[in-house]
Parts: sequence; structure tokens; C-alpha cells
Amino acid sequence: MSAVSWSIPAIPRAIPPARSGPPGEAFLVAARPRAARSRAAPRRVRLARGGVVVAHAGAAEVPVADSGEAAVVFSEKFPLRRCQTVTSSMPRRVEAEPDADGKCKIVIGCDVEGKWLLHWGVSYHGETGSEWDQPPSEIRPPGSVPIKDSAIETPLETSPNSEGHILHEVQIKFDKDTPVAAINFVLKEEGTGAWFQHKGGDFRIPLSGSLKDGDPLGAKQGIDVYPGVKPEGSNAQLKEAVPGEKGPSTKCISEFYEEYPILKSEYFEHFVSVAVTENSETDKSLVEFYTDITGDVIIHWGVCKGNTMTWEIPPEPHPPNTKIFRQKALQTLLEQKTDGTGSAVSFLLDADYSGLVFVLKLNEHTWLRNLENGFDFYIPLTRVEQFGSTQEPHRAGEHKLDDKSAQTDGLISDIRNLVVGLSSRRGQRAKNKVLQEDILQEIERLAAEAYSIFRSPTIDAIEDPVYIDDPESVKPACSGTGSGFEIVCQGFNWESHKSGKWYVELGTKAKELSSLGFTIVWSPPPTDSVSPEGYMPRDLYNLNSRYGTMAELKQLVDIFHENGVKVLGDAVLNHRCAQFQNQNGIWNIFGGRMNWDDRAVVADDPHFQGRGNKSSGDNFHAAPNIDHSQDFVRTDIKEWLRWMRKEVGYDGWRLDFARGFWGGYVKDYMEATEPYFAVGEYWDSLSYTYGEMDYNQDAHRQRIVDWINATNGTAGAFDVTTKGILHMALERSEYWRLSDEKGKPPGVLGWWPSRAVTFIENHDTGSTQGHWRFPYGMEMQGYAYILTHPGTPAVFYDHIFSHLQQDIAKLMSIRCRLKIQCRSKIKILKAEQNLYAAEINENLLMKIGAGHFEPTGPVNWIVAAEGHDYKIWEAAS
Amino acid sequence: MDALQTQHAAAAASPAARRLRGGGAGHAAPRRVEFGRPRRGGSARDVLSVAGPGRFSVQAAGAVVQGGTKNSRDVVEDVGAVRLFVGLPINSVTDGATVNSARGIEAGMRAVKLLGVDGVELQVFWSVVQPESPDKFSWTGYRAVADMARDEGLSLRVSLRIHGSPGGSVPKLPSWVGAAAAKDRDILFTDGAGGRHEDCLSFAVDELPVLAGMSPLQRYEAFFRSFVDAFDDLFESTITDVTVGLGPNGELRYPSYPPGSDVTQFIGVGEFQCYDKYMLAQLRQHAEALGNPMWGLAGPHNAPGYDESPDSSEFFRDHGSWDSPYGDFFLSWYAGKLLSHGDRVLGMASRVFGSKPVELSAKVPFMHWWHGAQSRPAEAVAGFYKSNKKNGYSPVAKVFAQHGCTMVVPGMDVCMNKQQRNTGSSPDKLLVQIKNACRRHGARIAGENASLVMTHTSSFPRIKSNIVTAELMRPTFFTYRRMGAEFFSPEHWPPFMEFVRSVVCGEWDEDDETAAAVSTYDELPQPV
Repeated sequence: MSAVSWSIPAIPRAIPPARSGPPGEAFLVAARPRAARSRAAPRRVRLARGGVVVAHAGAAEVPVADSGEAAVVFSEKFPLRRCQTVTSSMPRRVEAEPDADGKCKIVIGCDVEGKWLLHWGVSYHGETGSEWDQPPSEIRPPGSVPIKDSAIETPLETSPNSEGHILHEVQIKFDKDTPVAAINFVLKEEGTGAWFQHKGGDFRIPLSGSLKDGDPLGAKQGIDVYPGVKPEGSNAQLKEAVPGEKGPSTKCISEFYEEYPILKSEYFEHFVSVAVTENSETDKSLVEFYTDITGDVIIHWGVCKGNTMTWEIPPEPHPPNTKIFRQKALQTLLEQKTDGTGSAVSFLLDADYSGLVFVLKLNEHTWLRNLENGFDFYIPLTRVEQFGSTQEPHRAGEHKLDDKSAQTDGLISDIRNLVVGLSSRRGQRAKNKVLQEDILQEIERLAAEAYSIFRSPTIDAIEDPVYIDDPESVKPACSGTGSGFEIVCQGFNWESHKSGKWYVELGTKAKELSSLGFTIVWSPPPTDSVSPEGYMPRDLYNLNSRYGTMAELKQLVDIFHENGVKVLGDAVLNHRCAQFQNQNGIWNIFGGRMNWDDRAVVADDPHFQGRGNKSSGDNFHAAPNIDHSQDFVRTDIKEWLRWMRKEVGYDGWRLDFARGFWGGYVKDYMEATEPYFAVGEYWDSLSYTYGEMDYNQDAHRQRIVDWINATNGTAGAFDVTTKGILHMALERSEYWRLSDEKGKPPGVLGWWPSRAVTFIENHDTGSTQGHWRFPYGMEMQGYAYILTHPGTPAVFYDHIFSHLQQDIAKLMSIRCRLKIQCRSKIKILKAEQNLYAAEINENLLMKIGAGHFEPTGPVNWIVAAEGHDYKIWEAAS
Repeated sequence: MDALQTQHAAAAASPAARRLRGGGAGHAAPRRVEFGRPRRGGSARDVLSVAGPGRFSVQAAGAVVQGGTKNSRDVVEDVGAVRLFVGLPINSVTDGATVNSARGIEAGMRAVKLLGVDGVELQVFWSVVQPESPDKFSWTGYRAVADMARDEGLSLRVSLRIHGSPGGSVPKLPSWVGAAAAKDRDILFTDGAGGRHEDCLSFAVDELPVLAGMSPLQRYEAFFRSFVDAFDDLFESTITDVTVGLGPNGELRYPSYPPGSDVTQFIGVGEFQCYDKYMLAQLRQHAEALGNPMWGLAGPHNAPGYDESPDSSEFFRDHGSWDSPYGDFFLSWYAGKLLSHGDRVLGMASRVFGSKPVELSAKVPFMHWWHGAQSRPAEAVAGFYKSNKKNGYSPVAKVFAQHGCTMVVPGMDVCMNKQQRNTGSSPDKLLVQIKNACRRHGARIAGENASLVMTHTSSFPRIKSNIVTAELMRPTFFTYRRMGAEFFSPEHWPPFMEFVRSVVCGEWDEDDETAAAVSTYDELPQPV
């Protein structure tokens, strides 16, 4: 009954307490009480046991039995944990003087006991805010582990310092002219997982001052030019600040040494024991508290009646040294034992309270709670009769006679279980609250997963995709797919414009790229541009850009051609920045040879007051979008593209922001320029439900395929779908995502492989922008996928010129050797939680994921390449 | 008291029965620990589901009252908490061997488990299990689903389905049965116009050796026994309920809807299905025995067509022929045939499952349309009739009670305002009628919803009132049908979650309670 009242708060006191079940049962009870009609045999056994327990429980209410006048109702020792802080210091210093190798170094140290990790990242010049980047590999000390894509962790090494103290420190060496502007870090203690920050933020060590801002150099710089390390308050002790030696370059590195105090928390284990003794004569309970904590200890407590769990203050008299706290609780100071071993208090309470609730208070800021539930301690004061039955004393007595005292232990443990249930009840609720959030999230995730699976059409409902790649039937005027055996190299990143002579630099790598097996290189947008990266084109016929001059570009193309590599120009056709303002001051009048006016601008972006038609695609809002529906615009663009084909020698196109206009116009442009290879960037969001990426991404790839279709297959498209699914599959070990319902690859390459340009990273998703970075450390799995699969793979510059080069080269050589091309046949063998395996062309097997896979069958498979979580076999010839 | 203490004992007996689960199998790495337990393996369950502790208070309350009063069965049943099931997709298995959308089912099971649902319902089709020949059973697929439920710690209610067109690319009847029916078309239910129900064997051939030398009843028994063999080890732990399919759509009824139509969509009067030669022979025999051979030549000639109004022809009109001695003769015989079919199959089922710790149940139709008409025409053509305008569900309830079989009533979600008034629909009255019948005969009831509740906002409260707050004849379990795309859609899932939480948490307002508990701490600094 009591439980009913608990669930329906309106009723509680209406029910005689004698009938009450202990409230804690809610937690102990596991099985739903099945009606007595249950035919389950095991249940009967348990019923029998239950009977025994009843008997004992009932017996305990008769205090005269063995225990004399007083019956111990409750006795328990609870563990406590107290937190104390230890202060120590963390020195760090920067040595500007280059060592023998021309390196400067930073030393960060710490003299507190523990296993320390430096969690750090860098920021570069010109960056603001608190963004971290991963330190360049050359300055990473050995033993560093990358964490996500913006930080690494380096363990501090332990060495005794001159005074014999243990010192943990780490050295970071860097070139004097490093582009790194500052090192940001926090410290982490591995043992406890605790983080140590600088006033809630990062520690920051600036490596250099910049001349760019025109700051005067000199003594001043040593003092306060470093906003991050300004001695703020008393915490920071800037011991030394020496203006650094001015380097020959524009950078200046200062030498300094500082120390920060570290507060480290340590836990001390204590306990509090509580005993409740019931005195049958006075009808009062004696409650005794004892704790081994020394010093002032206050119990903050209240009592509760029935099952309400509402804190009440018992009537006076209160124990000595007791204060009433906000009319809700009592605070009783424990008496310190004279021998200094702890504190204790005992007092009497009326027995009609069902329980006592308390926490311990040490001082204004330190409260000790129940470790078990993170909440209050609950001490039951009720006599055990509550769950025995007062109405059936005879029965209880009979049982008692039957059952020997040998079972007393069982009784005690049962009571204890009850008590644990009781005391944890409220905490459990609090815990449940937190857990509920977790569980709700988990439920939503599961529901989303189930939804995406169930709603995807069943297998027999799917028609075969229309985009069957039949070279006979699909024969556009120009296919834009090259030979089918192409491997594309994206020949730049987001930083490439910075040197001002990228074309020259890239040219020096042409031979290398060619020998690696690349057949196509995608060069950066060549035109005059408002942004240095080239994606805000202005005067389209001006091919002098931050990447180099037009002459250098032509030379670059020639060099690649000499090496047998085709060159794609990055054509930004969607938008164009104006050179002049119209009468309203809006920038929508173009200059140069293509001196369009606002009629060339789409009408549906109010920012640019275009007078053209509405856009045939999505708008890019940073610049006037070009209205491709107008003949004069298309004529001009075709002429421009033809000009670039001829003048520069481009072999094909990479089309920027292809979402911005109808694919049909692209067809027009492609037919006019007959590129050897063309690929469009059609990048929009994958499908998510409740924030969870759907398993079925057919809608997403359909949009890409629709675009390709609109171009009449004259251009391929980047397989964004595959990249997105790879992210999920790798990051969360959900490799089942790599097979669609029909057992085919789930991206564009599963539907129209010859038009799918697969990639795992580009200048937007990765590089220094990192809009959608491929899961860190898993790039090789990504390449193991795209370089073995049909479609035309594109490899990102940053990956080629990194430690991955050899592994990528190996995969590329396998691709060439086994003649895998964009239309190669693929058969997916496994798509499981931690394993994806596929057979391509009948002569290559590949697997990615941690799961075990070994080829079987009549073919003799030889391992061709192997790496972390990927493996590739080729058929022995 | 016994029941209550039992639970403590159980808890004490196996405190270590917590099972760590979710070790990443098939899904993202687990973000937290979750406790599960085998349902009746004798161990305690630490339920950390969103349902929170509230639900157990309700159950415990039931237990206290049960134990304390030791009262009649009615009281026990009324107080016991309703067990909540969710139906699995009808086409979970279609070829006997593989589980369709297995990952979806798995995720779905885990989701509803975390939500606090007690179990799932799996429909097992004769046509899937024994598709090719009478000698071979293929249980692999269903077994895999049952194992999933076991692994999630969910109870399993198995519905054994024989007749009807389930849809979802599940075959209708086993092909070898279909072959037998092709030879003798009269073993199929037949309407007055000669239309045959290709998916439903006539009740008249129950005991005739029309299926490869054996009677359908023997075949059903073989099917049931094979199920028991294949799932024997799950009866102690997972399978808590077996629902016996007694007719089309798993319900004890005639297929009074037009042949080939969707039984769940049809809300016309329907037609009598007594025109196969076996039914007609029995009718003739019965009429001759009663000395009215003329009455046994055919069914009523003046009954309305499938979709016609009961007033359109003489038979079901107020004071029409149904109210005549002939009408009573025919309807009694017709309903009696249904009843004896139910009796036969349930009798066989209770022999098969008698030794197993499962609750046996079977489904009746919820013929709430044309309930307003005196003749209750829709009920009558489906086979629910009792002379003298008495409760047509009453004889059925009696048979159910005799076999200890729970009556599953679909349509616990059907609201009055949802139905066209002109069909004389009255779900409330029908439910009361069914409950009365069961109460009189001591049969338990359970519930299902008629359709996935989507847009109709009052349906969830309706279900809740039918299964939680109903004072008398509260269902022992309720099955919400059914999992699938719609079920998990963003339109349906959130209200369903609300519904489940409100059912399992009761009326207890958790936020208030928590606020009260914390109030003594306010303005205190957090412990370090």
C-alpha cells in the first residue's frame, strides 16, 4: 500500500503505517510481481524462500528474544572521502638561444608527484581566438599522441633536479623561424585524470612577436607584449623576462622563465558509523554517530515520517550543540574525542519516525555526502515490524519456532539489503535523473537507427538504379571521365597561396607526383580574386593570382604535361565579385573583359540586387551569384573556358560550388570545352535523423547523381556521400554502413562509379580550414577504401606530402598494377560492425576495420599492402 | 505478503546478477553501463530505465494487495500492473531463415527496452515456418529474433498465426496447403457468391484429413509442437505468452470480409461464410436433426452484401429475420461452429503448452461497427451471437475461461469520435460488453491497439485509460503494434515515448518529488 501512496503523493498518510511495505523495495524488486497464476516452476521455489524471510522479519519485532532491553535496529559504517589540496609549482621556460642544431626550446616542468601529460596545441600567426591546431610534426617530441585533430599529448619525463626533487618536464624544440605563434597547453595527471588549467583557460606561451603589426621591439616586449602570460594576480610569478634576441627574420623569440602554482587535490578516506538502538521501554531510538575525521564535524540532518522522504525537524529537545538550519534541518556539532581519534554524538529520537537523513559538514565549503549514491545518508529508524505483519503475529511466531537460529545470518543480510535499498533510494533517484538523460539520448539514437533502417525501402521494392554504366548507351559528346584509370591529385591546400609562388613550387613536384602514379593534378583557382585562395574571382581574364603569374601557370601546365599528367583548372562559375558599385552603392558591376552589369546577377539574393533571373541552384551568399540562364552570360563563360583551355593548356575542370546552378548549364560548358576530365563539387548535407547520420543516404547520393545526370554525364562529381559514410563507419566503427541495402557501396560510387570522384579530404574539409575533417589517424583506411574501389580517387596534397606518402604510393601502385579503374566490379564480402571487406575486379581483396578477415577460396591471395586496420591482397597470377 | 518478500529474497539471493551489456556489439561504443537481467532466471533486475522507480511501486502495490487479501482472482488481476509489449514487424521473417532488417529490430528492441517496455510480440506464421512441405519446419529466422529478445532481457509474446493475409510479403498459407486447396477448393471459406478465401481454411474441415492425409487440426498441433521443441529453452526465461491464432488475422472469427480484402481495413457488415460444401453439409445435417431440413439448404437469402447497410435488406433489419426462429437457428449454428473451432484449437493448444510456464491467450475481433443496430450484424457474420439478444462474446469468453486462455482484445485505442457515426460504431459499449462477458466467466483480458496511432492525439490517452486506470477487468498485458518505419518516425516516436513513460511511471510526478528532496540543500555550496 505504501508504495501506492508513494506513487500517488496525494494519499500517503491515509494508510495505516503498519501495512506499509518498506519503500526501498522499489529498488530491490526486480521482477514484476506476476500474478499468482504463474506456472513458472522456479517461482515457487522463491516463494518458499520468501516465506522464511517473512518469519524472521516478523520475529525481529519481538525485542525480548535474545537482545535484552534494546534491539539494534541498524548499524552501519559508511565510507567518506574528503578532498584536500596540495600546492606545488610548475615552472616553465623558453630558451631562445638556438642550440647546435639551430633549435630553440621550451621546457615545461612540474614538480608534483604524478604521471603528467602535456596536452597541447599550437596557434599560428594571424589566427585569433582560442583555436588550437596540431603542432607540426617536426616540433612534436617523441612519444606524442595525437588527440582529435587539434591537439597532441606528450608525456612529461621524470628526472631528478639539482636539489634532488623529482621534476617532470618536457622539452619542445622548434626552429627559430617557426610559423607557430604560440603554444597552448594544459596539464593532465594521468592517474586521476585531473586537468590543470590556467585560470580556467589554457596556458599560452607565445613563441614570437610579430613585426607585422608594427610593434616596436625592445625591452617593452619582454614585459607585456605577451598577453597570455601577463602576470595576473598573485598566481603568476614572472621571475624573469628577458627581451629575446632578435632573429634575422621577422620573428622575435623571447627568453623567459616563469612558475605557476598548481593545486592538486588529494582524497583522504574516512568513515562515519551510525548505530540505532531501540529501547522498548521508552519507545525511543538511540542514534549514535561516530567518525574518525578530526576537527569540527557537523551533521546536517533531519528526520522523516512514513515514506514521504521529506526532511522534517524533530521536536525539541534537540541534542546539544544543535542549530536549526532554515527551518529545514538541524546541524549538530559532533563532540571531539579527547584522544583525538575522531568525533561522536548520540541522542534519542522518538520511534515514530521512519528514518533519519543526514550529510556531514566540515566547513562552509566542505560537505560530505553518501559516496554510494552521491546524495544523503539514510538511516532507517523504523522497527522491522513494518514489513512483518502485525496482523499475523501467530503465524510469524510459528515460523520462528520452525526456523533455527542458524538462519539469523540470512535474516540480517536480508535486512541489510533492505537498508541499502532504503538508503540508496533517494540517491538512486538523483542518479536516475542523470541516467535518464543518458538513457533518453541512447533511446533516441536507437530509435533513429531503427527508423533509418525500417524506412529504407525493402529489397524487393528497390528498382535497379537507372544509372547503369553502359558505355554503349550512355555516350555523351564528351565523357569527362578521362581514361577511367585516372588518379587525381589535389595539388594545393588552403595555405598554398601564402608563398606567392605556388605554381613554381608545385612544378618542382611534378615529376614526383607523376612517378607516384597520379595522372591528373587539380590546380588552384587561377583568376584574380578578392580572397587570396582564389575562390572569390573578380577579373576572370586576369590569371595573375596569389599562386603565381599567368606565365608561371602556363609553365606549370607544361611541366605536368611533360610528365604525362593532365591538369585541371579550378573554375569558379557560380559567383563572381564585382569591381564597381551600382547607383545604390551595391557591388554588382563587373569589370575586365567580361564587363557584365547587374543583369548577370541572379535576382533572388537581395544583397546584390541582381536583375537576372532567379538562381537555378542554391545561392552562395558572399558574392553576387551569376545568372547562368542568360545567353550572354553562358556565351561569355564558354569563351572564357575555351580561352583557358587554349591559353593555359588546362585539360579539364574542377567546378566549384556546382550546387549553385543547374547541371544543364554545365553540360553546355562541358560540350563547349570538351574537357578530358571534369568534376563538380556538389556538396550538401547528408541525411540525419535526431542528429544521427542515417544509414540510408540514397537521397543524398541521388541529388549528386541528379546533378551529374543534368550535365548529361559530361562531368563527374565528388563523392561526398562516400566521404560522409566513411566518417561514420571509421569514427564509430560502424562498418556496416559501407554496404547499402542492395549490398553495394552506399555512396555515389555504388550507383554511378564512372562519374564518382572519391576523396577523403580537400582544402575545405581539411587543411587549415578543417570544416569536415576526416577522422584523424584513419586516413589510410580511407585511402585503402577509395584507392581500391571503383570511381576515380582523388588524393589530397597534404596527405601525399606527409608521413602517409609511402603507404598511399603503395596503394596507388597496386591500383595501377591490378588495373583497377572507375568501372571495376566490386563485391562486398563483409560489412559488419568492425569489419568491411570487398573483392574488386576479382583480383583484389581489401579489408578495413579492426575485425579479423582472411581470404578463403580457391584463389591464392597474397598480401599486397597492410597497415593499421587495413589489409589488401592480390590474386597470385 | 509472500509475493513482496519473495522479491527481497530474490534480490538478496543474487545481488551479483548484474550483467554488463552493450560491449559494442553492432553499435557504437557504449557510453554507459546498463543493467539487464534474464526475465525469470531467478535474479534481480536493476532496472535503470527511464521508467524510473515509479512503476515498481505500482507493481509492489499490487503485490501487497494480492498477498495481503488473498482474494479472488478478479481482484488480483485488476490490481496487477499491465505488462507492456511492442509488436515486432509483421515481416520480421519471411523466408524462414533470415531476419529482415535485423539491425533495425535489434536497435528497436533496445530502444523499447530502455524505455521500460516489458517485452515484444513476435508473430510466427505457419506459412513461413512450414513453407514447402508438411515434413519440414524452418525456425532459424524466428529463433534468431527470439534470441535477440532474450539478449535484450525482454519478454516475448509469441503469436502463432495460421490463417489470413498478414501482408508485408508474408505468404498466406503454406504452399503445400495451397496445393491441397487447389485440388479441393471447398476446404477454403466460401461466401454466398462462391468467392473463396485463399488464405483461410474452413472450420468445417478442422478434423477431416484434407491436408496430405492429416486434418488441419493435426497439422496445427504439429506446428505448435514443433514450436515448443524449437524454443524449449526459452520458455523458462523469455517466452512468457503464447497467443494462439484461431482464424483470420489471428482472431477467432469468420472471414466475413470480402475475399482478398484487408481485414484490418474492412468495416462493413460483411457476409456469412458458410458456402463451402463442408459447411453446407454440416448445416444441412444440423437442420435435419432439428427437424427443419428446409432451413439447412443454404445460408440466409436476405442478408446484405459486404458493404451494404444492415437496413438495406431484410435479415439484419430491426425485427428482421434474424429475430425469427430461423434467424436464431442459423445464427446459433453459425456461431456454434466458430465456438467449437475455437474450443478444438484451444484445447489442443492447452495440451501442447500446458506444461510450459506461459500465459495462453487468443484474440477476438473488435467488431465495433454497427454496434448500434439491434442485430449487431457485424458481430453476427463474424460468428459472435447468442440467442435472445444476449452478449455474443459471452459463449466465447466461456470457452476461453475453460481453457485458461486470456482474451486479447484489439482496438483498445479505438475512440468513438474516430468512427463514422453512421456505422453505428460504439467502441466503448463493445469494450464493456466484452469485459462483462469475461468477468462473468472468469476469463482474463489483454489488449492491443487496432492500428498504429499516428495523428490522432486522443488515442494514447484512450489506451492509457483502458489499460491503466480502468477499474475493472484491467488487461494483463497490452501489446502496441507495431514496430516499423512509422513507429520510429519523428512524428510517432516521441508521443509513443511519452505514452510508455506515463504508463510505466504512473501518476507520480517525479520533478516535484525531486525538488522536495533537494530543497534542504538550497543555496548550499556543492561539496568539493
